Amino acid sequence: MPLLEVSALRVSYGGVVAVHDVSLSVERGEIVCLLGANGAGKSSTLMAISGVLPDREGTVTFDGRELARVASHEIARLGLVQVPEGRRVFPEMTVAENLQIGGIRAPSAQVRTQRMERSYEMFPRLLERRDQLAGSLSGGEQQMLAVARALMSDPALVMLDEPSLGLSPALVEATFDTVRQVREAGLGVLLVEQNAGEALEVSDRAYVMENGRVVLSGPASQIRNDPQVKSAYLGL
Amino acid sequence: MTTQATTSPAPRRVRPRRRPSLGIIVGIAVLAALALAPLTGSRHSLGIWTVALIFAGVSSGWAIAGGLSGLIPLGHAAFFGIGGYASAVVFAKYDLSPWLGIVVGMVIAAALAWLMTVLAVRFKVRGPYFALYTLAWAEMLRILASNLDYLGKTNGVLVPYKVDAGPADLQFSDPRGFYLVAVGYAALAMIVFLLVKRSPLGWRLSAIRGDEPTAAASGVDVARSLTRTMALSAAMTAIGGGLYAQYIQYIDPELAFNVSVSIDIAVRAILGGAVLVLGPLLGSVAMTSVTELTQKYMDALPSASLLVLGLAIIALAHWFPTGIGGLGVRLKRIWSRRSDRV
Repeated sequence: MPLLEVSALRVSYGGVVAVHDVSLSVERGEIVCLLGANGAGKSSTLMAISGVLPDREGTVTFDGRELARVASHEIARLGLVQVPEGRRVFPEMTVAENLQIGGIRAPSAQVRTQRMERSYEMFPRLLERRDQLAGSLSGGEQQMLAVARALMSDPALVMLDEPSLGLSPALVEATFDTVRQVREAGLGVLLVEQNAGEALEVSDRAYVMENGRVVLSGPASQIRNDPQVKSAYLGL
Repeated sequence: MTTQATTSPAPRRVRPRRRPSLGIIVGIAVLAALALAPLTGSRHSLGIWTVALIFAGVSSGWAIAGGLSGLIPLGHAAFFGIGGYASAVVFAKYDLSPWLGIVVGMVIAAALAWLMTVLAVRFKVRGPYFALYTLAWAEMLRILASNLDYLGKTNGVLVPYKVDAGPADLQFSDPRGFYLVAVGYAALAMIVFLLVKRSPLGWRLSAIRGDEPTAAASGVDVARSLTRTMALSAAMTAIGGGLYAQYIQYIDPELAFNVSVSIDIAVRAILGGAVLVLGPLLGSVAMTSVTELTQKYMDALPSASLLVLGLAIIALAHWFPTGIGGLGVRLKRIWSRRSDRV
């Protein structure tokens, strides 16, 4: 059974349907990306999964559990965590405090400290910056911190919303390296991206959305060679 | 990157932000000075500063919610008034210690704040709407108190003098007695504020203040953090209301629940700096000083104090958005930078 299974998801905003009948799944140790143009319904799908949007139909099953009536902070505790779009770190808190917030549901202070040390091992740059205010970090470092903060809850699945948005090409590269590291740690990753070229390179499988529907899905290598995807998203 | 992970464990350092801050040291010094102040000065000024200190405590209570959580409650007169009425009624009608009345007021205020916040969270009332929403609650209580026979309608409740009264009745033959109670309350409110700010709840609140959806997505229980904070803030505010009613030996719907009371409570904290432990005390001292000085020297202009305060708030909001306390923080930073260089 997949770690995350979404079936027949439908999301509407005050009667306007943004997502129609979307089904997708993510396994452990797998990067799955959700591609599509602006307004295709990618972020709505993500927000519906993490329980931020109440107006949804269909089922979302995570680790064998139906998430229909679970509050968003509880979903984080079950092991499904979202890194929101736009590198949303807490700017007036230090790097270390941001990580502590991510580990707020840790069973004990010792476990939290262990996880912080693990974060610093994974991202040595954050150790150098631990006492700096998060708002003073560079864009790439903030993205790194947002991912590290998400990992502090010891999740089984991480959902990343446009992690490369607004970053320079070198930082985009670094961000996708971060995503690979997350997979190497055995976690599932659901990646929402407009940067289709980079996303398809790191992903195992991909779904392409258009106007709120999934129009194409399959192994990333196959999607990359699809003539329609090539012309519409990869500019080839 | 893998070599780095295997060779050296992350070095440990003491958490830098937990040291006793300059703010606490200054706070203790200011409170000690205030405790000794009545040795000089007139009876009249003692009365003014007793009230100023009660309001410093009330504003510190407000700042627990208004400063730390990012909510803007503008109806703390509700909790202030509940404290006032509870202590007056318990003493005047049941002949029990007003201290007990204050405890009753704290419980009722906390319960009301809990209910208010649960509803606000459920219906997503935030920002300016939360301010208006809390203000409406205080108004409801004002109208209720004005119409209840039990609470003396618009006449309010009188706190009677008691023969051979003692500290248990909150009546003192020496006015310095009540002054010291006010110092103690202001100190207590500041300590509670500081404990909340530095507790796990405090950093949950600072995350919520920074970015609420992200805090929730990280596993912060926003609803529970906010309801607890508001309940605590209301209880601390109710103590001040109870002391105030006992001090002036009287409470009525306007003194308790008027909109101007809510605004006064919030402005004192904002003026001084609502996220700083010393802020409400500084703001309260500043506001009382301005009021007294303008009344003394500008008595031809009856509302001069409001004019001066208004200008002061505009100036602070422009140059020091973190209040008078923020000015101190900035000076401290300049000072430490200079001493680093030497």
